[in-house]
Amino acid sequence: MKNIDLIVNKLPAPTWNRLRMNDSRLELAPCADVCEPRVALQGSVCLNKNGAGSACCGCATAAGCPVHSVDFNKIPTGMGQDMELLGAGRTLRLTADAGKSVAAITLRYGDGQRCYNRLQIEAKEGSDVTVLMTYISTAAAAGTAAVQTKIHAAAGAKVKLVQVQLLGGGFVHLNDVGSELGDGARLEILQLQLGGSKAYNGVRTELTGEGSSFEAAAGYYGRRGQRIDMNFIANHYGKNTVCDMTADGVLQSGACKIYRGTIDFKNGCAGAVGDEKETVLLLSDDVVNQSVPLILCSEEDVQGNHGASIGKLDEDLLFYLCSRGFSEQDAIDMMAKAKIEALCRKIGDEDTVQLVERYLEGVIADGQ
Amino acid sequence: MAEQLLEVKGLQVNVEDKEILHSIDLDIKPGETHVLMGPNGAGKSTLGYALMGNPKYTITGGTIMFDGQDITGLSVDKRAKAGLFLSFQNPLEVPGISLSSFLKTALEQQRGVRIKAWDFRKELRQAMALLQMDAKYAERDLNAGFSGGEKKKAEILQLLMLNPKLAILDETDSGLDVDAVKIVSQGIKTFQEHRNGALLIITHNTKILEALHVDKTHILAQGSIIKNAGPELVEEINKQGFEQFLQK
Repeated sequence: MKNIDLIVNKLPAPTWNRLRMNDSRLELAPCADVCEPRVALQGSVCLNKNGAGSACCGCATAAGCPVHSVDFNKIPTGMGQDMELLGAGRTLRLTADAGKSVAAITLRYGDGQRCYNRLQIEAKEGSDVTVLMTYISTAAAAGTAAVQTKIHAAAGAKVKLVQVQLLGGGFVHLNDVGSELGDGARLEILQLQLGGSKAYNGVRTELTGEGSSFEAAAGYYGRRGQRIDMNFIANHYGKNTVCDMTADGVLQSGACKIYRGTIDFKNGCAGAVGDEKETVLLLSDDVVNQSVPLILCSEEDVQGNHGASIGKLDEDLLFYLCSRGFSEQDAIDMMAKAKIEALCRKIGDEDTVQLVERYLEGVIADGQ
Repeated sequence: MAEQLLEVKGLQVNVEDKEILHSIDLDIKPGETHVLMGPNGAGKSTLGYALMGNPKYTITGGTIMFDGQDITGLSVDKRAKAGLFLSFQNPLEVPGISLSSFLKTALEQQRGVRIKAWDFRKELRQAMALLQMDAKYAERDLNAGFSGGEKKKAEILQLLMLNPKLAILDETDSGLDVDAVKIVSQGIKTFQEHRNGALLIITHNTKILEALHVDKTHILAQGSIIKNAGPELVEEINKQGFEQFLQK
């Protein structure tokens, strides 16, 4: 089978072509393997493996069913339309009813596997659902792990999506997220990109409902020539909508990172507020750090802010840590780990936190 | 054990191309408390940093012997592991690392063994109680968002937990109210009396010394030690200032 050429993570408004930051291009072998997710559900959330009808609501097909009436095809994603070139993939649909619920989804990849998984999350009115997604493999494994997650949050629904990527050093990871938020809906996304050789991550949110809000926190630890490629887009349509996007990471030993963050205030989103903030800790001189913050505005009564803090470990801080008996390398490792652990504290699931901590200990012990 | 814990001979220190300290001699025996005083800009903090090995300060002459070992060229962490401690005038904020986890890791580094969580928590609780620190601070990021007073208490907490052989306290009392000075001074006294720790106290304020036994006092001015005397010198400086010594 022929390889597939993809153009992903496109900037909504291109900048100079010569900067090579407008999009990313990659060539992938077809994702012909199957990665069967392990799913654990708790509370008022149910699962339908084919996305067409569900035992939990009693319907046989999606057509005409009030539970499964959402057309997920209409929800755009951060990585863009080229993800369709990967085919239908393996689809799961989660439906969250009113009340609290948790769904834990683990995708465990074998060496050499090339898989495409899709997840559709429908959060109904009054629902409060947390979805924990973990991507894992053995440390030396290689392959392709492509995952698309689409979310529809109805009025007043709350969704927390946690995505933790702990793949082996030879994996190409594509993490594509799209969401649409109704009136007063809230979406919180927490991502940790720690493994793989190339990690492409696109997140796009349509804040259509009045007073809806979106919070994204992405953390990464780039090393060993890793490429981390991110594209975050928040489109404000509804009045008084709020977005807050942060990317917080560490780069060392030849890692390359690009962060694109777009806040787009569309006509009619009066009272909207958008913030984006990036912090990057540079631990060696051979890293490449690129950032494209973008605030687009078609509405007068809005507030958009961008902030970035990019630099090496402060010399005075290093001296302070060393004065307590830490070697320079230990102090650097400790600060790198602390950055990721600060995000870990927001996960709210002890098992996932421990998994990340063990992974980080392995990374540091291997001197990676 | 060496007769002198710290033996500094002819120490010359540069910051970039400028010589800040000129031929400093200083001896401290185990368990002794020395006070270093002097006008602003005299080089007191520079001496503290140079002894601890801050790479911004270049030693251009002289030697530093500590506990029988020449540490003049030793890295900062190795000096700390040898038993030297510096309490910072402006302690740095360490985001992402809780005070408790920082201290536990530092202790494990120092001792080279894993410390049982229960034992560590007990020790930490006792030290925090002595310094009247709210136990919640243990789980907060080290110094992040701490008030000036809490930062200084956190420094003394680290001193009590790490239990070095010699602690250099760089204006630990600056920015503290009267009550906080008393509490911090109590912590230092515990280190001095119960741990037999040696101290080099850099200060402008004699309030912190009231509860402490002082063995020797030194005046540092314009990068040189111009006077060495006993504890009575503190009182003399308190009454008459540095002027008379500078004129001599």
